Amino acid sequence: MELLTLSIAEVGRRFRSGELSPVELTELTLQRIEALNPRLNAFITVTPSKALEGAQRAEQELRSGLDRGPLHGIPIALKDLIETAGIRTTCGSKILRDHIPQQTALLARHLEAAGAVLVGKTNLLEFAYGIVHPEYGQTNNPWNPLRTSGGSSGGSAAAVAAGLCFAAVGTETGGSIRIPASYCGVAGLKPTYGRVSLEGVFPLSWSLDHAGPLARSSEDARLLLEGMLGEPLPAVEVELGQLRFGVIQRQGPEVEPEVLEVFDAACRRLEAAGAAVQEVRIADLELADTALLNVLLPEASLVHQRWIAERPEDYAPFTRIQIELGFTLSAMAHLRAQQFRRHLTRQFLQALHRVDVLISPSVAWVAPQEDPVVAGQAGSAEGRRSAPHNLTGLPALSINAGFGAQGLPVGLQVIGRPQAEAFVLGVGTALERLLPEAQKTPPLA
Amino acid sequence: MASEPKGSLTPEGVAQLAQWAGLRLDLDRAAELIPLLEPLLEGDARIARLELGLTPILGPTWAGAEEG
Repeated sequence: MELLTLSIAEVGRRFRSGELSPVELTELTLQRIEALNPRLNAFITVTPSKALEGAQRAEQELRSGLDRGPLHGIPIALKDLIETAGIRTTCGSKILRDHIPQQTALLARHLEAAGAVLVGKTNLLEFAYGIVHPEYGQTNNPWNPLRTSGGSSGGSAAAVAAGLCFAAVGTETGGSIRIPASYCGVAGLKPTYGRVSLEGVFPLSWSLDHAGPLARSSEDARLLLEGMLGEPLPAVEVELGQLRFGVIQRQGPEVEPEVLEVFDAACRRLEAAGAAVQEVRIADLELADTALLNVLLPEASLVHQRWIAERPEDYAPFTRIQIELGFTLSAMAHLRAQQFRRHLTRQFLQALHRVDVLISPSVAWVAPQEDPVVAGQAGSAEGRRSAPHNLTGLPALSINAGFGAQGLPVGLQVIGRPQAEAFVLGVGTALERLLPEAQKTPPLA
Repeated sequence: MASEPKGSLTPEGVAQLAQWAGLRLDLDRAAELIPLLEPLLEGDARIARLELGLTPILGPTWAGAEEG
């Protein structure tokens, strides 16, 4: 297990010194998946032959002096709505349960070119739309398998947290990377809107969709993002004591006391390190819940318009309701919500003129037993701290800040200016150093 | 200016909205949507009260925004 929780940089060092080989590491990873996946349900499809083939190739290339960079030989996973040629891509749905794409998504092609080793396709909510399809079932949380790993990229978050891969790609429309990252105690980044190509990624709501990395640290997330982009993303060294942090959405009726306690403790540590921490108000932020749904619902319904008419029974019951709901909203409501996004972004940019980054709890609560549905009140409350950044498109990262009374992880979110993901990840790395007791792996046998 | 709906939605009305958008819904299913649709319309009415002007909606949300 110890080898499977090393940092990507340390694995790379051992590969290059000959202490460890990509084949050895991939075999260990596949053994751990075999042992734990029945309990966690993190993978829909495991790809052992392809993984071992990739690991052997990486091993030969590294031995021969061909070095593809930090991800060369590193076992990774992809959320199962990212197309992979010859490997089924179900989107967590009955409708696409036998779908085998002919093409590989651009971000996955970049990862292949970086030498990453794909070990499998991870579980997700049906079409990433807020509820588990009964054919696949929930991804269980590595910190407590009676709780959810969160949605919709729960399989990616659980696989990373449990040491079933070193990093995984997720996607999100209202928080589906950061919510499971928070519940599973890992780092999850939503990059700036448009930064990562979504070619070959099944859409939920094209104007809100993002793909991003999940990993056990912000630095590992940076390395995966670099691989997804296919271009360098240099690390940014950050001195926390020289930064101004703006606190948003600290409170609210939905915020659990244990989340507030962990968040406040992190703020105190920041202040003790010399950082300036101040509360910041974002005007009209309370309208973001509605705006998100008024954008998301019609876009998602358009994506599903043919299937919802021809085979509605094949959707999970609440996925079907949400798709139907999108047909009842007016163009005015949708366009006003799109306009509101510009208004909200201006408020955030004005705040980010006064501080270097904004921070908040990632989610108001720790992992619940089940995922709430997107269009319900609990779903809105779950995404209240993540969804505004899908509306604005600003980069936002969740890192683990500590553990609540029940021993479950509590995420802290860092939000930055457009295109500032390297800086946001640098802040994440510095926060992880400030909060070393929060950087743990779950005690799975 | 939009006004807030106050329980005025009916299954027939919701089914008609869906049909105009291209989806046939029976009245039972339309009735299930009402409690989800009402808060969305109420929220839209609140957004409509903001002075958003003629904000273009193409391109990145931060395009042309002043950071100061």
